[in-house]
Amino acid sequence: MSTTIIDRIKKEIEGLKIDAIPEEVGVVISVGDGIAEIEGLSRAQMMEMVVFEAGEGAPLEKTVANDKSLFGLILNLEEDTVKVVVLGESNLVKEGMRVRRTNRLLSVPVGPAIVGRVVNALGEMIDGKGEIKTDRDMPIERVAYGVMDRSSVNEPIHTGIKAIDSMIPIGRGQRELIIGDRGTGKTTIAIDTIINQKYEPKEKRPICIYVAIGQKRSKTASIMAKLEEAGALEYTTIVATSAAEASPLLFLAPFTGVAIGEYFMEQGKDVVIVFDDLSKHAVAYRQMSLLLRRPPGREAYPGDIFYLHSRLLERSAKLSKELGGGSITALPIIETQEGDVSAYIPTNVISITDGQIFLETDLFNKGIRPALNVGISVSRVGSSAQTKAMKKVAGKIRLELAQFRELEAFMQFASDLDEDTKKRIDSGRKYVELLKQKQNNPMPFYQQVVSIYAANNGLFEGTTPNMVSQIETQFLSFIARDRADILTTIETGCELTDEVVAKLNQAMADFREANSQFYGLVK
Amino acid sequence: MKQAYINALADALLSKTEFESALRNTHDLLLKKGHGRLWPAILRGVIKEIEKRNRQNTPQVIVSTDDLKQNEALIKALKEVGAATTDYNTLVDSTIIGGFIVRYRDLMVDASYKRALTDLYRKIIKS
Repeated sequence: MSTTIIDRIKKEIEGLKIDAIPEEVGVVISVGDGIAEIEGLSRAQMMEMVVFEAGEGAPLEKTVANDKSLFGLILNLEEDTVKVVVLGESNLVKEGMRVRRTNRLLSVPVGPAIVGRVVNALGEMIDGKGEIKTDRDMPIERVAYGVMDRSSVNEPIHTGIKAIDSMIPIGRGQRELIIGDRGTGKTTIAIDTIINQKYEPKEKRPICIYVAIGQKRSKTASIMAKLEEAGALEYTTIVATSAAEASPLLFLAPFTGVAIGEYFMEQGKDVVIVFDDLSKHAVAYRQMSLLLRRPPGREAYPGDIFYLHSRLLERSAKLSKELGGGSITALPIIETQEGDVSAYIPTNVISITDGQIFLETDLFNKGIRPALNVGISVSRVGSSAQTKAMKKVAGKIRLELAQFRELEAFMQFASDLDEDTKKRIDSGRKYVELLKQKQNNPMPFYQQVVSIYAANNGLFEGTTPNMVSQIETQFLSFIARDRADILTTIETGCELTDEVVAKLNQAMADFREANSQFYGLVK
Repeated sequence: MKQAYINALADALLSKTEFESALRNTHDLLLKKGHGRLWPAILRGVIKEIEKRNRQNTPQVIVSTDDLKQNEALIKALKEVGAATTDYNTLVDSTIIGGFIVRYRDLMVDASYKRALTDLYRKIIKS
């Protein structure tokens, strides 16, 4: 084997040709906080990559031993200089160091093998599973698809969360914001959505991308472990940047994620991308902009912070049939402070996205999980993507819950309630219980349809709200065991036909008869 | 503002204006405008600026040994960067092993053996 290597090296040396090609170079005149100011490079482009000549003046053996290219990204073009963010260890950059143009805009190498892997903001693997074979470089910054290239959102993406799939449906190609205070379950919803995709048939299963922006490494590791345990990592790519990394890498991470997503979208595949979270992204961009001496605006954010997020989220799309029909569904996450959705970054992202899932600390503390505030959570385009079966059963829930909320407030003042009001309150409580779901336990949509249909049609009548969860579990296992054809029909047809309805009614009656111990508890 | 003074003084000194009068006039102007405290920094800046301009206006040829032989490749490289083929500064850097590097203004032609060998190393390691 060693002979082969030597032969090969000999052959390469024989064919060695020194090309005298002029390259544009600049000189570092100052460096600090990860930002280098470079003189020269008068023809450089915005967002172009440059390479720092770290090996200049060093002997060959040292250059080869420390052979790791140090790249920079041009972000400011000024009169005599350019400002570059160092994409790596900025302490290696020294004054007087030469910087070479690469003539290529920042791009990320992608290929089918990137699925199931963990990469950094530059697309380099960080999971220790070996090099990733790639076949293309996708530009990190790119203009989003135009109006004529898109088609309307008409296919659902199932999150596996009853409250979302029934009342705030999300379509493929939609941008749905997940917003809430810290510790309210934002990441859980995103991770459950990724896990739930395993229930989708393989040919329709979207590729998932989880972008961790400035997260703790322990959190990213636990998310990776959760996905692996659930069997979801095989169709997921994680783009991880930790809180310890330089702000330019945090700024790049979501763009890297969406560039990977676009690679698959252009092949006609569906992609779900989670940006966790854009509040930290905005903070990283603010830090970088201040170091680049760009003028600060409101809350010291630069003036183009809205444009930053809008151009990122605008890249999620549902492509037309002519372009393959692929899609990118974006689930950006925003962390609020004290539930204040009217702060600068939350309002920006709310206005960019096609709806929001609002999570509340109070509900979370009451044990209502997911802690979804149904009143202010909306999906602006998703209802047209909802399956017929879900549409048929879900319409009633929103109304019931709205009435329940009104009555709940009224209940605090009045002690004597009439029978009808009591019934409505009881029904509302049962719906609230029904919509509770355990962490990392998404439910396939056909089971959701059965569950909600049963609730609408009196499966929980004659029982107490605290029994709802138990009855639901028992009923679903009864259906899966004895009436599996109901689930299969709903899964394949996505419709609730009269025949299925009849079978469901029969199943409910049989279940009630066989499980009388659950009923008759309420006088 | 400091850079404007630096550029103006460097221009004056390089345009063969009398050295002493250029310095004196600039200093007087600074005092008159109340910017006298900038004087030491301006002087340091002017030295850097003149060095930079000299570096930019004269091509540099870096070789590994003293005995530079003008060959076709070097002349071609000088032409490629738009420099005169006869008037250049020669620097010796033994770490480049062989060949040459030409630098002129923003452009560089690296025809050194070190670069070629580093590229070869990367190619072999990558494949």
